[in-house]
Amino acid sequence: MTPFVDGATVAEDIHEKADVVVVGSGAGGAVVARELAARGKDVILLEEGGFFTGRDFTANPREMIDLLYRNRGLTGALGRPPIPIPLGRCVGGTTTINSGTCYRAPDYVLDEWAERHGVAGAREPDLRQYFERVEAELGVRPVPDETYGRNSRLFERGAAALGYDGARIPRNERGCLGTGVCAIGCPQDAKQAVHVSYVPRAQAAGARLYTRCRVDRILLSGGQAIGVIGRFADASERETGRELRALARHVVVACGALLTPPLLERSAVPDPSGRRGQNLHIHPATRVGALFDDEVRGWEEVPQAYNVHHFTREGIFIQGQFVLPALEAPVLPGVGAAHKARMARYARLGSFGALISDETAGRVRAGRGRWPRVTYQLGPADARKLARAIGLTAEIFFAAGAREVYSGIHSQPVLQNGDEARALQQAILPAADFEMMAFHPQGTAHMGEDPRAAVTDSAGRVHGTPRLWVADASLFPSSCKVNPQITIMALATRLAEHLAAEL
Amino acid sequence: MPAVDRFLRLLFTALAAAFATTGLLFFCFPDATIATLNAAGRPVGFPPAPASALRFWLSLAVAYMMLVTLLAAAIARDPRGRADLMPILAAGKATSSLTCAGYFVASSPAFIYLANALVDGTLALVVLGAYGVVWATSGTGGARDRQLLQAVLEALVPRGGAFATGAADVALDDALVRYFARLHPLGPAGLRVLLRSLEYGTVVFERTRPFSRLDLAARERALAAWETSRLGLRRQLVASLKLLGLLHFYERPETWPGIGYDDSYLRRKLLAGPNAAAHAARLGA
Repeated sequence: MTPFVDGATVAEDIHEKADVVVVGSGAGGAVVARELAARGKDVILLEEGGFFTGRDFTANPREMIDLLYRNRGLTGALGRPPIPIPLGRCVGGTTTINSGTCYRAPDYVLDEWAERHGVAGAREPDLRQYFERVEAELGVRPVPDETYGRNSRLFERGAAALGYDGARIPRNERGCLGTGVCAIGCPQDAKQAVHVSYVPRAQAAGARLYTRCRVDRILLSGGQAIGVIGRFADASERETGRELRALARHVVVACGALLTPPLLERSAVPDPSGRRGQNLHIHPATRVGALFDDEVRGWEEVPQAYNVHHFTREGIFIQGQFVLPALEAPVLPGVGAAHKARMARYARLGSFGALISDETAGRVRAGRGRWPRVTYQLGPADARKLARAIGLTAEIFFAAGAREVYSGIHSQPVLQNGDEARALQQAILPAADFEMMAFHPQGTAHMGEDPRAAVTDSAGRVHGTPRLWVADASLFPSSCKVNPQITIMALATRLAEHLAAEL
Repeated sequence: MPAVDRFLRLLFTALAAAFATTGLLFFCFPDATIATLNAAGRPVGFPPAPASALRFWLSLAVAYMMLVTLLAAAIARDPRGRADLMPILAAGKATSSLTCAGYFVASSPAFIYLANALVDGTLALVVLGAYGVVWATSGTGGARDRQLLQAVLEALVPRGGAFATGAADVALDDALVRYFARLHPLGPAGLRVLLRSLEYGTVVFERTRPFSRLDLAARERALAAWETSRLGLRRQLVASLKLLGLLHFYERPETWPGIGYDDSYLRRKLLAGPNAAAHAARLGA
């Protein structure tokens, strides 16, 4: 591993200078750091969490959630109901803990961004070269036969029987063995999360990495960004009392859609549009389980290997999501002896996730402590869409031969047949009836050429504050309708090009 | 000193100062106090409170203000050690509030009655809230907390049934106590509140005995009812319990034979890749 500065070991305050300081080492920040360093620019990359690789990943869910997830996985949005939104807090950010699914934002989404939100230069022909570059860097390819298992095959069979189009998921991996624990860190470093791809390449090109450094404030002078101040912490997240002051010609904020707006807010960065922190979309999701007569052994494959894209334009995507017993158990309905009876059939369970592209817009504001105030109330239209998504997933499972399906809906936790699944597709249910999670926060510092309507311009420059940029999913003007990683990285690649031209 | 204790000291010091100031005002300017409050209520249409030259009630009022001042000051010096004084202080404020509310409704709708009812009622709730904070954050992890936790976990994952292993077989209560302690300085307090909510929640919602005094089957039924309750908070409580309890339970290898899972596949993969040496050392393979 290329040397880096672990904030826990810093004994004195540090003063740094660079061309660019990048805050956040996730999908966006790592790309910007790498692209600029490769062009010979002097880059500092700051990360709040620690730096871990496959050797540190034990595949124990509880241990890895403690190690890699922000606030031990207890992050989310307030609303009825509250929705957990797990985030990574480590070098690589959420790419370290995601399933490695790599989809480009669909052409019609990019067209909508251009036509409805005034985003320039970001239609498919404009971004194609960046998508291709990122996919080549990450080795993106569809899941191969060796790691495509019975959970996915059964579901694929069910979807085909119903005439629903789907395909194997393109993933960022090299040498994946199908260990099946993507969401708690790839122990083989096969998943090409940015901590094993872009970050080391950035370092090799000269970028300086500081870990366990939480940026408190962006420094402004004469209305321009001139650097940041960060505080170092130990492995227990306690501040050590040491601080980093990094002055730079440009500052790039890539903390993610839930943390970028609060940092801008705390730093008193002007917000001419008044839109900062609003427009939060999260892709609400529910895991749908199914019981089969025969063994599925869903842990013996890539957890997220197959996707039904038949309904993507409608705003529904259905993707595999099989997890180890400790993570599966809480989402199975029931308690006591009844729950044990269900878990006793764990080897016969299948599991897929039903996600929706949400129209609902939540909000993010700076909180008093480290976690921002995130509010999100699932609207009726999205509640109907989620019910339909769950109903479709259940219908596919029944078509695949499932005996019963666990819906994640409190009023109807167990579905017994395809008729009930089809009825659910038309159901009108309150938001509080769903047991939801969300994995793709986006939109809270969205781009657009009009400073009265957008927080950044089409390249990611913050309107009204020269030399300040945003490079994460905050940029999306609306839901990207698919897993956002590749689109974040493509936009970050483009941003780096623009930024380099200004240096 | 923990932040909670600093807050409690500050709170009761501020209360003592406020009570002392108010008592002094009552004593030095009794008629002006009444006149001021009458004037405040007049624009909104409240009738004036009747004036009186009798000072008997005033002397009792000043004595009462002296008493609450001394109570608040005594608590401020040692909020945890003198927490037993908090309900006494709250009782005084509640009595003042309720009697004024009664006079407002039954005697004369004077502003002074309404103002005192609201102010002293709020103060009573604040003091009771402080008492609740002390209770929640004191002596967590004690025998009673542990007994409740074991009762809950036994209902969540009982012994027997589909497979033999239950919560008691893997010391699940120890695991959760450690988890909450690591989570946050107020984590143990949070666990206590969660357990007490369930313990007395069954009295309120199921109209039965407290949770821990139910037999195992009744406890399971209670948890199941909470899981599907129309009240979101009850569902959220059980969802949180399941998330933390079952995460810690099913991470234990001794639970896996019962659910048809084994980690041979995972171990094979860990020992096959580029980090095989590191994983082998960790697994003792």
